[in-house]
Amino acid sequence: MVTDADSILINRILAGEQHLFAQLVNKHKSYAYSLALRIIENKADAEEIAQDSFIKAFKYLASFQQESKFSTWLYRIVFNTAITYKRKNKVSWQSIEQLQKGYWQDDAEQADKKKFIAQAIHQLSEQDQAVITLYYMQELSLEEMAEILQSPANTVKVRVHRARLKLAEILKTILKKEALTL
Amino acid sequence: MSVGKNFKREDVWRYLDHDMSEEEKIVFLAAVKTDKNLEKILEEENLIRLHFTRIKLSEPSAGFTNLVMEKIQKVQGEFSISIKRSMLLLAGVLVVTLLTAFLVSKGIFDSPGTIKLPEVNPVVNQYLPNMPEASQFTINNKIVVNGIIILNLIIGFVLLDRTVLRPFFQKRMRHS
Repeated sequence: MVTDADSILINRILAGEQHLFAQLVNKHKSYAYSLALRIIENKADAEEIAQDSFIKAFKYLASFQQESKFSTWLYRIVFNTAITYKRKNKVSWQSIEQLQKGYWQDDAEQADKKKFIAQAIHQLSEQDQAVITLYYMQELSLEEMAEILQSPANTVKVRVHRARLKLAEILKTILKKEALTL
Repeated sequence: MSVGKNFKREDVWRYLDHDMSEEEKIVFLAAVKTDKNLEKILEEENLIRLHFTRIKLSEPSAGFTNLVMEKIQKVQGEFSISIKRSMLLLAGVLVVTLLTAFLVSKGIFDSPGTIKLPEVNPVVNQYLPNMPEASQFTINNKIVVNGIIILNLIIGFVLLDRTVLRPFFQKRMRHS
């Protein structure tokens, strides 16, 4: 049983102090939102998904066994909610471009390359995108990733390796195509 | 996939993941300086990493927490029944069940009930003056009432589980 700050809060929430859930939301909202944003690639939808995930977490808080970290459990909810949403509503390429405007704010020199990277990531399978997204969120250990993806750690390691290779291959193809059109 | 003379793309990942020893790092960085292809790959992989790590800094809207808490309150209001209300419901179910069982034991529902279609709806008689005997139904009142009692008991048990037993044992588990 985990006895960290989250665990103490959870016990108090379950004992009736439900307003304390706001503290858990405050603590984990950035990460939950960022995870949803990386999977969905649309700010408004990502926020909606993050909110829904917190509501689900609250609803099923009593069933949370506290054998793992609350954050890992929450991210699994966010991840599953986002993946389900993505399957139901295919995100358009335009929304990714809009998203890029938000966080690619540096020099125009590498802008093309960044655009190609975004394209390459988008061409990865849903599963590879998810794996690679979680991998680059460096706060997660391989074991935590395994728990979120509900696969053994070794399988996750192999999946990350393959996804990275695929990404490199796709990027290479895109760059080759671009060089030919110039 | 080979990158440079000695280094593969996997080595670039190892460098970026901080999995290289200090000696390896020195050799790798020296190779980057001399090998344009390796430099290109490193730049690409770095950009990929950047693509993900920059978005990590994203923050949801300012009212995010309040919105979540408001939604939670709304959801709770929709689905939860207060303990007082659930106890009243449970008492109601019990009273109805006991009352019906008492009436059954007194033999109130012992006589079978009969429904005659022509009596229920005179229009039937108009169109079918020679109604066969099938138009007359006999209902065993005792079976019907016993069925209602059983249904009431099931509802009572579900209510007892959801509103009293489950919260009680969950509370005990948390405090153990």
